[in-house]
Amino acid sequence: MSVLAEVTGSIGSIGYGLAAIGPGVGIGIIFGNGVQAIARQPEAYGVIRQNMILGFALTEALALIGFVVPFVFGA
Amino acid sequence: MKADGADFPNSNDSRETSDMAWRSVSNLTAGLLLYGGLGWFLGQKFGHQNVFIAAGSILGIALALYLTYARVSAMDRNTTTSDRRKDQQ
Amino acid sequence: MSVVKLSGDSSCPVTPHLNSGCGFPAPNAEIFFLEPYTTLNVGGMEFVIGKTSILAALVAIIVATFFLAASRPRKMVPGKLQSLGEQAYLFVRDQIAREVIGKDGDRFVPFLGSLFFFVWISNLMGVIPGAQFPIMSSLAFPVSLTLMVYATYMYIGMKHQGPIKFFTSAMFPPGVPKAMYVLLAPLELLQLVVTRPVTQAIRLFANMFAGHLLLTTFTLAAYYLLSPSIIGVLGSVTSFGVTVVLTGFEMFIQGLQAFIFTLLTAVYIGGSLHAEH
Repeated sequence: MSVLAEVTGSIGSIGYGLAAIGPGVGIGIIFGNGVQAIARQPEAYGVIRQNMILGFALTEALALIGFVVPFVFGA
Repeated sequence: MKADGADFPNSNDSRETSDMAWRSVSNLTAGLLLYGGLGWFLGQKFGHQNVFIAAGSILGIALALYLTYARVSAMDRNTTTSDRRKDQQ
Repeated sequence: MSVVKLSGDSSCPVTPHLNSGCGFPAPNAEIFFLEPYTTLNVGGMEFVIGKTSILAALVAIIVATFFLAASRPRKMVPGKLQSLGEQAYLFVRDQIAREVIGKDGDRFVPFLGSLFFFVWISNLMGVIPGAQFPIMSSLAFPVSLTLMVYATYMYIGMKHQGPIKFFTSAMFPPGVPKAMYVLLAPLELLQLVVTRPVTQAIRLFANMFAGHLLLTTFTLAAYYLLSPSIIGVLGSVTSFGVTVVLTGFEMFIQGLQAFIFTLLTAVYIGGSLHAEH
């Protein structure tokens, strides 16, 4: 079987780039919906803020795990 | 022109929120670095570096998430319902 | 473009075209190391006078001159220059200092304003023709600014809350069972002392570095693809269009990064002034 295409170099950085797509979209959705919810009902600001920050931290964690994985599975 | 405490929310709220939001990023990075670094260090000593780095990073991220959760619930508990009702009057 | 180095063939010109047999000279980190103009040796320390230092001095002179000139005529009904200076000052005071620190952040507005305008104008140098080098993309500049911010908020925190209480009030978060303190306290301490300044500096540096690299890549691609063939012309025109769009985007990012840097400074100063519960 002949090799048609080959990727050399730092594949870990490609892995991180792919891993950052999901959290990027997710964080945008979280804060977008949070801002919209605050605009609709400003007196619920405390509850919305709390959940927004929690959701953001959880989503960001995935991006950071994606940053570590090349070091774990790499050479 | 804003009053020094806005009508909604009061300036303590917005300061705490932005503080907490930036803090969560720092928490995650610090947890990752500290316990991931600890894992790397243990891996240097005992071998099987990959396992230690992975375990340390996951532990660090989990602890940082727990810390963010603890601080956010404490922040919410500190602005009690009576404070919020006072803002609206 | 004499700083773009091609590895390998020495028969290729520095900026080749598509069908000349040389590969695309993809810019890497080498383009950020500019040749110095002169090197002064003062008392055993080497001072390199290059494009970066001259640009930094120029930015500082521009910002200082603008604000000095805007504050010279002190009229009640301001003219154009004074009005512009007032808007600049009020932007920093209302949107950054008072939002984040509160009323007693007023005495930090000079510091925050200087930071904001220095970072913003020096970022803008990345798209101004002639200069075209955002000086915040060489790591020394964000690091030195962050060291100033670090010294400020550490000093204020220790003076305001007492040296021991400054650390312990941050290290022990409320609402956590006491057994977890052993695991969480080093995390909090590391976050206060190391991670906060490091993420602030690296955020600014990485954004400017990546933006400059991106613009350079597409500009080089527009020149490289310029050759008498269909794919050449198409690729060149597209690359040029992308360069224009990316320049607009980059200008937005530059302002945003300056704002975020200043906002973070205000957040850290505010966190030092008002102790955690």
